[in-house]
Amino acid sequence: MIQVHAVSKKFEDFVALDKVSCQIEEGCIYGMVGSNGAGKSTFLRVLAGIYRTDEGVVNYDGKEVYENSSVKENIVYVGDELFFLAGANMERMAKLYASVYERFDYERFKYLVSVFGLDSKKSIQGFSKGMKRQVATILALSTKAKYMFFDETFDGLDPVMRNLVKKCICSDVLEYHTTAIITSHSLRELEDICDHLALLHRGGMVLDSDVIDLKTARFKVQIGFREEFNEELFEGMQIARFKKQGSVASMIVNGDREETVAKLEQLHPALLDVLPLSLEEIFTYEMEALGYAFDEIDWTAERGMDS
Amino acid sequence: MKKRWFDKKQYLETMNQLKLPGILFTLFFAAMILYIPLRSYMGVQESIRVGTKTMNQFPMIVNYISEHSGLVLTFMFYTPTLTLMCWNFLTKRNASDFYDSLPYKRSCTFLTHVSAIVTYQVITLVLCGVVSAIVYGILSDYFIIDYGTMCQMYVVLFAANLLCMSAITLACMLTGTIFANICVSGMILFIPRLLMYGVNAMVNASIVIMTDGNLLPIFDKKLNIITSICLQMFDVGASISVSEKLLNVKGMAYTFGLAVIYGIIAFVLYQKRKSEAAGLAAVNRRVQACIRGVLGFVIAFIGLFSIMLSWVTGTDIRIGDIVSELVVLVIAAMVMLVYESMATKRVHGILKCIPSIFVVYAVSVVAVFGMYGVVRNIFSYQPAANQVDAVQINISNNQYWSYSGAEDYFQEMNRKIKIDDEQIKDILCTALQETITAYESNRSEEAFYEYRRKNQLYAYEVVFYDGHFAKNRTVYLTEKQMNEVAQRLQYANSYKEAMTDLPALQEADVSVEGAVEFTKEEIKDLYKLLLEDIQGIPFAQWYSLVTKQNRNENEITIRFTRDGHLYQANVPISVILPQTSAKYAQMCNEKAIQSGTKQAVLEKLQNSETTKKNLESNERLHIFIMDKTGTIWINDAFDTYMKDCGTQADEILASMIQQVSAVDSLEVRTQEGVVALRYYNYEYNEKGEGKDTSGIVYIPLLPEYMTADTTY
Repeated sequence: MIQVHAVSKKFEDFVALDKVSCQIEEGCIYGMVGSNGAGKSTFLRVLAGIYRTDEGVVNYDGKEVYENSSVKENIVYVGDELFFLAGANMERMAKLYASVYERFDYERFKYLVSVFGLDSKKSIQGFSKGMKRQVATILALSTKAKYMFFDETFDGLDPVMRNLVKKCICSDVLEYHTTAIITSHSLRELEDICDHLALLHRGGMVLDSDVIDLKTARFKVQIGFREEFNEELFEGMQIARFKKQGSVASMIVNGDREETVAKLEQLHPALLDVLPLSLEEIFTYEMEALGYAFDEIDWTAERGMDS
Repeated sequence: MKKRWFDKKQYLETMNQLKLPGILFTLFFAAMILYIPLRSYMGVQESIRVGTKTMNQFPMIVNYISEHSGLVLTFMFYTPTLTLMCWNFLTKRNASDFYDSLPYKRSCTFLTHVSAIVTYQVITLVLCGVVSAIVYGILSDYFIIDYGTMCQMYVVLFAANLLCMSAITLACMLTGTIFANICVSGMILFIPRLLMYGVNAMVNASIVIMTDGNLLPIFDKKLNIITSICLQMFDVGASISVSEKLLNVKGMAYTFGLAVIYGIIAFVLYQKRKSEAAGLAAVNRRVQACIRGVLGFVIAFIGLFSIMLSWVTGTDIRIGDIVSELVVLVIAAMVMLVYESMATKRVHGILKCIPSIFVVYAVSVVAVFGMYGVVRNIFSYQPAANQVDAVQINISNNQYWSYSGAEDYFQEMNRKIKIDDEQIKDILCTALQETITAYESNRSEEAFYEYRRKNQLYAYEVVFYDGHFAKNRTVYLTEKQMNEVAQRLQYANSYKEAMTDLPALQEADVSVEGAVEFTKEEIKDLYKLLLEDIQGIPFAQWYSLVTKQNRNENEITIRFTRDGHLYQANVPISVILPQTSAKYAQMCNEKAIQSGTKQAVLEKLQNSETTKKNLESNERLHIFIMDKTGTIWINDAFDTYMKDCGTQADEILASMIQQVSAVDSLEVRTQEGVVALRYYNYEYNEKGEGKDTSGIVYIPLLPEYMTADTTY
C-alpha cells in the first residue's frame, strides 16, 4: 500500500504540490486527472522516488521511497517525456531494463512486441510518438514491477492502441496484482479503466474516491408534478443540486438510489426519470460542492482534444 | 536488493554506453604509440642509408616523455568526452527522471559511473604502455628507453585524467545543460590556476625584487599537471619542459589529491542533486549566481589588482589607466550578462542578475585589499642568515636548448640543490636587506634601475628556505659579493657533489659535438678521462666551466636518466680539463691524418690566396686559440686572423705550417694552451648524399700566436 502524507513540493517559487495526502491500495488502477500544471507529473515523480519531497512522506508498506532501492526495485516509471538510449532499438532497451529489473521477463517482452506489432530491431529514434509510447509501455510491463506509473500514457496513441494498452495494464493488475497509477488530463481516458480516481488542482488533491462509489452514490433525477412545488418538498433527501424549469426539476441526489426512488414515488410525480451521471458531471458537482468554481477547470479543452 | 556502493550490471551497462568513444580513442592512442617508434626507426634507417649516421651511434637514449607527449590528449579530449557522455543524462529531464527512478542508490550510481570512466582510462593507458614496451623491446638495438620513467609517466597521466574526470563530474553535478557543463568544467579546471598565475606574474613583473618564482608554494606552475600542460600554449610555464611537468612528484600528488577532493565534492553534490535540475543552467539560483559571479570576479579582480600594484610600486597612475580599469569592470559585467543569457537561454533573466554585478565588484575590491597585505609582506621578508635553513641560486646558461626534451643537468642541479653554507647565506641575506632598503627609497622601477647602474649591481635569483615556505627573490649583488659566493660554493658539499656527479660510463650516452666523428670506444676513453679530470681540478674551475654563458669550445655531451628525468650535461672541452683536452686533441689529429684533413689544412695554409680571403661557400677554415687558463683568445675565420696579425702574419703562418706538417709526431700539451684549426668541407652529390671531409688539427700554442689584434 502506498501512503502519501501531506506531501509538498516547490520549484523555486512555484508550489507544485501542496500538502497532498492519499492512500493507494494494492492491486488497483489509480487514475489521476487534472488540468495542465495541476501537479500530476510532479506527484507521480514523487511517488516514484524521483523527486525528494520538501515536506511530507511517501511510504510503501511503511518504507520511504526516496533513495530506497529496495522499494524502487518494485517500481517502474513511464514518464510523460520518454527516455531511450541514443540509437537504441527495443532489444537494446530491453537489455538495459533487464540489467536493472531482476524480474524482467524476456518472453513477455517478445510476446508484447508481437502483440503491438513493432519491430524490435529497428531504431526507436525512427518510431512515431505513439510507437515510442508503446515501446515504453511494453518495457514497463515486461519488468513485472509491483507498482507501475504511467504519466499521460495514452497521449499520442490511436484508439486501437489506447485500448490495447489499457487491456495490457488491466491484465497485469488482474494477473500479477500490480498497482497501476495513471495520470491524464482527460477524464474520459480514465473512467473506463480506473478503480479509483483522484483530481488534482493547483497542487492540491481536490477529490480522491473509488469510482464505483462515485458512480453509485450520486445520480440525477428529473421529476415533474402537476401542481406547484419547490425544493422543500424533498426534505430529508440529500439533494446536492436543485434546478427547476417550469413544472420539471433536475436534481443531483446523494445516497441510496432505490431508497430515494421509493421515497419519490410516494410523492406521486407526473414525471420521474432517474439518470446515471457521467464522471465528468460528478467531478464538476463535487468540485462545486468543495467550493471550486466550475470554470476554474477547463474541461472544454479536454473535450476538444478528445473529439 | 541493489547494492549501496557498486552494481556490476549497472557498471557493465555504463561501459556499454561509453564503448564508442572508449574504443575509438583507445585505438587512436594505441596507433599513435605504435607510430612514434616506427617513425623514428624509419628515420634511423634512412639516416644510415644516406650515411649521415652509422650503427656505432646506436642504441640512443629516447626521451620517452617528450616523444610521447601526445598522450596528454587523453586528458584534453578523451576523458572530457567520456565524462560528458557519462553524465549526459543529467542534462535531460527525461533521462534524469529515468535514472532517478531506477532502483539504485545515488552513491551506487555515482561510483558505478565513475568506475566505468576510470576503467576506460586505465585500459587505454595500460594498452599504450604495453604496446610501447613491446615495440621498444623489439627495436632495442636502436633505442633505449627508461622503463621506470615510462611507468611513472603513465601514472602521472592517469592522475591528470582522474583530475579531469573529477572536475568535469563536479561541473556536471552543479549544472544541468551541456553548455553549462563545459563552461563550468573549464572554470573549475582553469580559473583557480589562471588567477594564481595572473597574480604571480603581475607581482613578479611589477616588483623588482621578485623572480619568476612562486609567490606562494601553491602557485607552483608544475603542481596541477593539467593546467601546466594546457596553459603552456598560452606561454604560461612554457620554460618548464614537459618532462619536468609530467615527472614532478609534488605535481602528481597534488593532482591526485585535487582529483580526490573534487570527486568527493561531486559525490556529495550528487546525493543532494534534484532531478529537476536537468536542463537548467545550474542546480539552483544560488549556484547560478556563484558561477557567473566567479566569471566576473576573475576579470574585475585582475583589473583592480593591477591598479593596486601600480600604487604599491610607485608607478604613475594615469587617467588612461583609470579608464582601462573602468573598461575592465564593464567587460566583467558584460561577461556575466552574456553567460547568464547563454546558459539560461532567457534574456529577461539578465535584469535580475544586475545586482550581482555590484556584489562582484565589492568582493573584488575586498579581495584586492587582502592581496595588498600579501604584497606588503614581500618587503617585510628580510631574514638574517641564521633564520634561513638554506638557499638556492638559479643560474641560466642560456646555451642549451634541447629539442628532445632533455633537461640541462647543471642548470637543474642549481635549481634543486639547497646550499646551507653559512657564509653564502649571510652574503645573500645581507644583499636582500640592502636590496629592499634601496628599493624602498627608490620606489619606481626607473629609480631603482638607476641605483643599480650607479652601484654596478648584478641580479641573482635566489630561493630562501626558512622552514616554512620557499621564497623567491631577486637579490642584487656587488661584484665583490658575487666573487665571495663563487669562492664559497666549493665548501657547499651537497652542491659540489651534485655538480660533479656525472654518471658512470655504462649509464651514460656520450657523444662529442664537433666536426669530427669518433667511434663509441674512442668517446668512452675520452669520457673516462673527463671523469678523472673532474676529480682532479679545483671545484671553482669546474663551476666556472659548466656555468659559463658563452661557449665556443667543442663539447662532450652526456645524456642520461636519473630519478626519472632525462638530463643532458654539456661540458666544454677546455684546457682546464688537462687529460680530456689532451686526449681530444690527439684524437682529432689522428683523425685529421687519416681523413686527409691535415693535408687539406696544410694546403690551405700554404696557399697564400686562401689565407687572405674567404674560401668557397662549402669550405671554411677557422682558427680557435685558447690560452692555458681556458680563456678563448681567437675564434674566427683564418683570413680574418691573418689580417689581425698584421706585419707578423707571415711569420706566424710559417710557424703554423711547420707545426701542422709535424703533427704526426707532435705532442699537444694542452696545459699550455691550444690552437685548433677547424676545417669544414661539405660536399654533396646530386642525390643530396653528403661527404664530410671536415676535421680539426690541433697544434701547440706559441706565445706569438696571441699577438693578433683581437681578443675574443
